[in-house]
Amino acid sequence: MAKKKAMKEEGVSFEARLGRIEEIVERLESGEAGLDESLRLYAEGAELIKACRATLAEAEKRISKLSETAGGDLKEEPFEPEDEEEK
Amino acid sequence: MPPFDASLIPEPQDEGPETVWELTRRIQATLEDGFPQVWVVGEISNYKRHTSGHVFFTLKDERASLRCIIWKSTAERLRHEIRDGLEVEAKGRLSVFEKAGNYQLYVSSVKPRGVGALEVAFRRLKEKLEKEGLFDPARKRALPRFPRRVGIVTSPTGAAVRDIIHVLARRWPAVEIVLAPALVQGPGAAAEIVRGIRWLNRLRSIDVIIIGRGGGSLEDLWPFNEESVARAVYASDVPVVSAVGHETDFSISDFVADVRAPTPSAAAEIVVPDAREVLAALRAQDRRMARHVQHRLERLGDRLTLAARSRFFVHPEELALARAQELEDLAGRLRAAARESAAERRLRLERAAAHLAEHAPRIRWQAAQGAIRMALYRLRAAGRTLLVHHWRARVDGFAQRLADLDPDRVLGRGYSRTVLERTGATLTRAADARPGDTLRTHLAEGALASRVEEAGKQRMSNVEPVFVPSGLRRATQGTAKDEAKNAKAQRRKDAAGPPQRTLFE
Repeated sequence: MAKKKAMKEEGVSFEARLGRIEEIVERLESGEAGLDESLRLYAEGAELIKACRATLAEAEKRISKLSETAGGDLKEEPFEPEDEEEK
Repeated sequence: MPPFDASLIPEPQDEGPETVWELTRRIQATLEDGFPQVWVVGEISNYKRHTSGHVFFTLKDERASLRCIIWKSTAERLRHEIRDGLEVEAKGRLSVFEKAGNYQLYVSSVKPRGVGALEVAFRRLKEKLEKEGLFDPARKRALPRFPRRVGIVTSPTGAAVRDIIHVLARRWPAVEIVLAPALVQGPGAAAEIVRGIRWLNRLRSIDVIIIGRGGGSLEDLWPFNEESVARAVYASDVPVVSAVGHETDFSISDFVADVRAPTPSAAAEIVVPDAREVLAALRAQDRRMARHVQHRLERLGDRLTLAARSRFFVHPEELALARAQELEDLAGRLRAAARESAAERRLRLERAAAHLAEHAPRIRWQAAQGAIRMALYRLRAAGRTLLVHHWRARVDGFAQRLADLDPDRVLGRGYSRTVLERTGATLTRAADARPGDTLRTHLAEGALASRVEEAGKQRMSNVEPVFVPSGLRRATQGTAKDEAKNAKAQRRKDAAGPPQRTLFE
C-alpha cells in the first residue's frame, strides 16, 4: 500500500510510474487477477496515468544559468535566451 | 626571361600575320600544356562573389598578382570561408581568357594557409586519444529516457542555445534546463567549456549534458578539438551529447561523447522524448485497462444472468416440490419394506414412515430454505454489481412467498393438519377414514390424537372442521349452542382418552 501511494507523489520518477502502469496492464490482461484485485489495479493504474498526464501538461519553462560565487559555490539564476535580432 | 623554344609554336598555315585570335589560341595551348596543375600561395584581394554564383579574386604577393576564378559548383562546396586579406593556398589549372587577353587560375580547391597545420593536429590528437581508449564504444552510456534536468554548455548568446531551448520546451515542457555559459571560439573557450562540464557535474542534479555550438570554420570550431575538452567529456559522470557545427563537421568531442548529434537542435531531440507520443501511449494503456475490466464485468454479469435464469430461481417452489417428491418416494419404499417384515419391525417402519411423512412439509421447507441460502451465497460470490441488488430483491421476494407457503404459517391461522395413522397420509377426504381409525391432528402448537366415530363425505359445518363431532346430530349450520356442546363433548373425550404424546416436537 505504501509503495502504491508513493507512486503518485512528486519524488517518484516518470519512468517508474510508466513501469508500474505497464505491470498493471500485463497483470490485468493475464486474466489471473480476481475481480476485486482487477478493480483495485484499474484504480491504481488510472491514478498513475493521471499523474503522468499532469507531468506532461506542465507548460512552465524552468531555465537557469549557472555561475560561481566568490565563495566557490554554484548559483542558478533565471535565464532567458535572446530573441533573434540579427540573422 | 627563359629561352624561347621555337619548336612549340605550331606552323603558320599561310604567309603573313596571324589574327589576334590565332595568336591567343597558341598562347593558350602553351599555357595549358605547361601549367596543367598549379599550387600557389598568396593573399586574397578584390574578392567578389557574382550573382551568377562564380567567385572572383586576385591572389597576390609583393611583386605579382594572379587572377583567380572559382566556378559556382566548386565555390558551393568550399569547406573554408575565404575573404580579402586572407593568406590562402590554391590549387587549379591555368588558362587564358581570350576576350580580355589575360590568363587566369581556374581554382579547384582553396583553403586558408594555417588550416593545413590544424588538420594535421586534428589527426594526430584523434589517433592518440583513440589509442588511449577515449572513444571506446563500450564505455558510452545510455541516455536517460525521461531526464528531469538537462544541462547545456554553450554560448548564452547566439542561435545554438536558442534552438536547443526551443526544441526541448516543445517536446517535453516539464524539463528543467540549466545553462553553463561558455565561449565557444577563440582563446579561452576550451577552458570555459571544460569548466561548464565540471560545474554541471558538481550540481549532482543534472541527468544529461549537451555541449555544442553552431556552424563555423575549422578554426571557429577548434575549441571542441582541444585535448582538455576531450578529457573533460570523458571524465564526466553525467552522459554527454556533443553537437558541434553542421552535420558534416566532426570534432574530437563528438568521438569522445556518449552520443554525437549532427546539430544543436538534433541534440535536443535526442535528449528528451516527444510528450505527444508518450501521451498517446498512455491513452492506449488506459484504453487497454478499461477494456479489460469492462470485459471481465460483462462476463461476470452474463454468468450471473445465466445462474439467475436457472429453474430454481424462477420457481423456487419447484425445488421444494422436487424434494418432497423424493421424500414421498422414500416413504413409499419404506412402507413397502415394512409390509414384508416382522410385525414389530413393520410397526417401527410404519411409524418411521409416518414420521417422515408428517415432517415432510418441514423438511420440504428446510430444503427450500437451504436452496435459497445457497442461491444467496452464490449470488454474493459471483460479484458485486447492480445486478446483485436486483436479483437479491427477486430472491427475497421468492423467499417471502415460500415463507407464506410454510405449512406452519398456515397452521398459525387456525388451520390444522390431520394425518391418518393407519396410512400415515395427510387426510383431505373424510371418506378415507373409517370409524375406529386413529387420527393425529397437528395444530400450530401441539398435536392431538383422536379416534374417528363417524366419517362423512360432506363437510359437517360451515366453520372450519377442527374436530369430528362425536355422535352428535349432524349440523348443517353450526349454532353457538351446538358448538359449545360439541366442544364440551370433545373435551370430555380428550380427558377420557389415553394420554397421547405428540410426535410433533
